[in-house]
Amino acid sequence: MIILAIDTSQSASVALVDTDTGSIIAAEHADDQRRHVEFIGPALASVLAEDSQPELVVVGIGPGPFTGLRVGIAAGIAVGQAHGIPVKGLLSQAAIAEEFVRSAADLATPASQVASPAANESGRPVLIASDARRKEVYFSVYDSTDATLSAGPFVAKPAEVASVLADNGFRLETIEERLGRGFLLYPDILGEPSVELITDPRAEYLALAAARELTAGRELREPIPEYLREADAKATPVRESSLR
Amino acid sequence: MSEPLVLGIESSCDETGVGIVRGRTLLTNTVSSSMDEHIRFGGVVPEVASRAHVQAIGPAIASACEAAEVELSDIDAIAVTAGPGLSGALMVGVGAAKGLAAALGRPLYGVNHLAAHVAVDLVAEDVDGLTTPTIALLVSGGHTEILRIGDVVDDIELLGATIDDAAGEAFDKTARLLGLNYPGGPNISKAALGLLDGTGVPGDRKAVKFPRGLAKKQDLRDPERRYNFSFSGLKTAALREVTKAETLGADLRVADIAAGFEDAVVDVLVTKTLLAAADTGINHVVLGGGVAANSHLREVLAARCAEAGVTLRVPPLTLCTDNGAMVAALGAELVSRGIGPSDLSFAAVSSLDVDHVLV
Repeated sequence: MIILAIDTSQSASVALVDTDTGSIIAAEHADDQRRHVEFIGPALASVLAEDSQPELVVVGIGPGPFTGLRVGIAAGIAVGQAHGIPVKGLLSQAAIAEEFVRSAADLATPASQVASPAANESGRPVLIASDARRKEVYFSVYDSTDATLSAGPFVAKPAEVASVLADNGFRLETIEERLGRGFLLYPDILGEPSVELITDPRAEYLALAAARELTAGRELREPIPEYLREADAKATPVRESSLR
Repeated sequence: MSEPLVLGIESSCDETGVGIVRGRTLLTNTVSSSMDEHIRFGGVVPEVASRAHVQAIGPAIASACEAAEVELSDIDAIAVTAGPGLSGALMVGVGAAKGLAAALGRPLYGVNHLAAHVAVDLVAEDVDGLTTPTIALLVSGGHTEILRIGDVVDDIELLGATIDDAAGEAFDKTARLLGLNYPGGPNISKAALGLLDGTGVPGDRKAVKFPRGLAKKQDLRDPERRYNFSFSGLKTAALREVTKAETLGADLRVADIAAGFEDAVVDVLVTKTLLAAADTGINHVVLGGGVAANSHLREVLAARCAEAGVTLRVPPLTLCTDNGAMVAALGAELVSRGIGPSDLSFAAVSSLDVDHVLV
């Protein structure tokens, strides 16, 4: 299946992927954390100029800083309507898990636990942490073998990550695989990243992660942002006036 | 070429609007508002509005196409509000518009929200196009501006604007003071007419003497202040009067405060608009923005325009409030004039100047 994937949860990324062959037909990335709306137009025009036309749009639904996150989701919804194809959502950190599992498999020696078919059914935990701004991180735990979500996503201050993980049966200090921008931002608290090159979700891996979900018989989500935080606004009670 | 089929998207505040026009013919004007979600906050909360936009944008595009009986593939060009407005809200509309433009391979016009409010008469069914030159008074929860329009595409000048709250915002805040719900404008109007206290007796617009911001003689002599507005003093005066009356147990009705406050806002809006008309020698005024729904404003503006020999145009209310049709109308005008589209890399600009009609 040809999937157009868009993720603007951290930096911005767009890709057209043939998930049957695993080949990336076209991809555009911006390292910029803020200029998503500027990036998305030219990037989509470039990727959609390919002969291969998408059959499904998959958007990263975050969590991620809201304003940028919505740009990719809105654009994805519009592309789906223009092409008359479905638009689905997937947690953005699934792209990082997918990239990790694929790169681990590529690097694996025959003796490696990671690639071995004889490995335990559930692999090792992979902790992914992204920048949530306001001195917090978005984080979740994926499985190193099949990139499935084990826990999360959560949002918390870096110092609180360990206790949130403990509540979900994981120990921060024993997790060897740590990926994402969150570890670049808070290495003193969360530890150094185990693979520095994998920082932000990339759309081609989001497409491949979506294909993995579909192959496993799991449904993708609706293209609705995963905010994890309420909108910043306090309801103000209506003032009572004694005037009639 | 036949007349261009243009889809316009508006998301600068709390309305997700999608309009479709063919040249100067309005095909549909679909608006989804998040107003109800803002009531408990007493005003538009940008993040709440942005969240509503991203939920509404897909259904709004789909229902606009359905209502206009067109396919997206038939669209010749897309137009979208690039600013001014709430940044996060604008970005949802711009993101969607770029998605459409890229996927359809059609030109995209990022246009100015204020110019679009004026351009809406290009497609209004009850009038034969746009009258220029004109003075435009745009009043809403986010805007209070007086514009001189020589031409809606290449000759727009900002004469004056509010230096603090927008008029609609002042209504909202004072409504709250009086124990009335958001949106404040309609509720203050109802209160002023005595419709909320069960009496049916209108409030006395002269019971409390409210100040007119930036309307003293020295303000009007100062070119920097002559057409500008300030509503903060008026708001403070309302607070003072209400608390005083509450403390003293004075015989003052909510209707009186509402009526006096509304009259003060309307008076200064109308006075300065007519000043602008007289100074520029332009004998036409067009009203736009959500506060155009205020009947006292429409009545006073109509009466004083008539006295001054100025013709007044008030578009149908659905075209005065934020909508996608006005954006499509301006887009179609740009296409018709052979003006090239925006670069797909344009940004949403929350403070876009009014002389930037196209980004």
